[in-house]
Amino acid sequence: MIKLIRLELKRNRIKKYIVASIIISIVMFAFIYALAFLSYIGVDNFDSDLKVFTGYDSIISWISVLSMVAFTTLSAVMYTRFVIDEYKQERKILLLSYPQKRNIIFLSKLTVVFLFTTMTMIICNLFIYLVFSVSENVFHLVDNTLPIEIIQRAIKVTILTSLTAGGFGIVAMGIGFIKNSVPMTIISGILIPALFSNIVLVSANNVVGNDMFFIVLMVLSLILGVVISTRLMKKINIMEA
Amino acid sequence: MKKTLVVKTDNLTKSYSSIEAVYQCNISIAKGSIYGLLGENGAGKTTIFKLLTGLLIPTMGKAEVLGMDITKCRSDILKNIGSIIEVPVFYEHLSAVKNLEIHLAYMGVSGLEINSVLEMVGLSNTNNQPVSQFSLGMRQRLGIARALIHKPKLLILDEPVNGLDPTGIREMRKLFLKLKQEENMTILISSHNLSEVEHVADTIGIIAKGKIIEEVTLSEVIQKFPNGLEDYFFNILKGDNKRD
Repeated sequence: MIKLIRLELKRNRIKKYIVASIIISIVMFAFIYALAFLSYIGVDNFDSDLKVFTGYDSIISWISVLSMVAFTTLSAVMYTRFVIDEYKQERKILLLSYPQKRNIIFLSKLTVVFLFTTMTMIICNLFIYLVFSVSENVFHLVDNTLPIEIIQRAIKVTILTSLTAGGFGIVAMGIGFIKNSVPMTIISGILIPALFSNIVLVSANNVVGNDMFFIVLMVLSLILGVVISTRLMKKINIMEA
Repeated sequence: MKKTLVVKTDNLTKSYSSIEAVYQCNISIAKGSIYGLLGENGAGKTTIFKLLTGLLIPTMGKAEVLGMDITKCRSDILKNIGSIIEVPVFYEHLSAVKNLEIHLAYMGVSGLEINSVLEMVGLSNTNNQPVSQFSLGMRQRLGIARALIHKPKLLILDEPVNGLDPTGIREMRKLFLKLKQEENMTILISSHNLSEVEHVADTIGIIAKGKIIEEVTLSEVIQKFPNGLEDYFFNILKGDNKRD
């Protein structure tokens, strides 16, 4: 399995996905400071609807959710290359001609994309929060103090949403695989997390600091991911070229 | 003396809904021989190749490759087969050497000389050039290199000289004969170029409408048709059409 994962990394260009992750991080930097700026100038100057964007808890929820949508999309794009393209008629003859267990080859592809998505999202988000918290200590934009509980929550929500992004990426890939369509994979990768994120954000903002919604979403996405992977593995085992 | 068979099929059939792509096909390929499978477009040649490499599951019948059942021992058979089926695909951004390294890793083989095989197929000077920049002929040569680099016992080549210039065709012909003579490799080959098959094959199988209608040695063909394989091929097909 490790050998197959190495081969996946060797034959696919990972560099471009690393660049994409860096671009996502830069955009998230812009977002986090835009949200912090809203807190700084005070919501009283604006419509009361803007209150949902202010305060550390809201900033964490928003950044985590936006980041989750972005990384699920990245994950879907990776799956189009690693899975959808590879099992298309013209390429699958090569893949299915190797004397390796077909489901293990498929699993190695999922592992590479899932680990890449979750790990890069964790690293990117934690780096953003680290820089933000340092800058907050120097120049307060949101509040005068940054409690340790907020930092702990940022880490917890980052891990939860990163795993959710990994799970939703598999769901998007499953839809694209069944439809045998690259656009369908990418559109699913945008729409699925966007839909669930709306529910989570509305719920989380009504009960500030309540992360149960993030936990439920993570469990849901991982269960769906496991179910879809298992079904696809069975399909690939009897696939004809 | 009884010959060892590398491929043996018994009423092998593959149907797609109501269409029978291959019907009750019986092929016997002796070890160390070059078997030329001839037939018109859509006759079922590629389907047979896919059945023998486990890419398709037979609807009926049985096929044994190297004494193993294709439906039960897929991985063991694939380790000992090299193939080009349809148009060979590669990892386009990688060089020929990298493509072959990856292929060997997937085949679970190491320590083989990639450069000598590339030299054998006339691709020794490609260096780090990505496959995306290769011509059709170079891609075909690389496909042949990939099919034989892991030293398989059976080579299955679907139109292997497609896209090659006359020099390339001649070089590949010599290579196939060398593999047979020096490595005792068994080669199953299909080609629309009848004179090409005539130059290398020692056994001929004619397939029409999914069924093997003749299986003879080339010496028998030459005995009956001194003008060569072309006369024999059209004569057989004409006879088959009359039977319809």
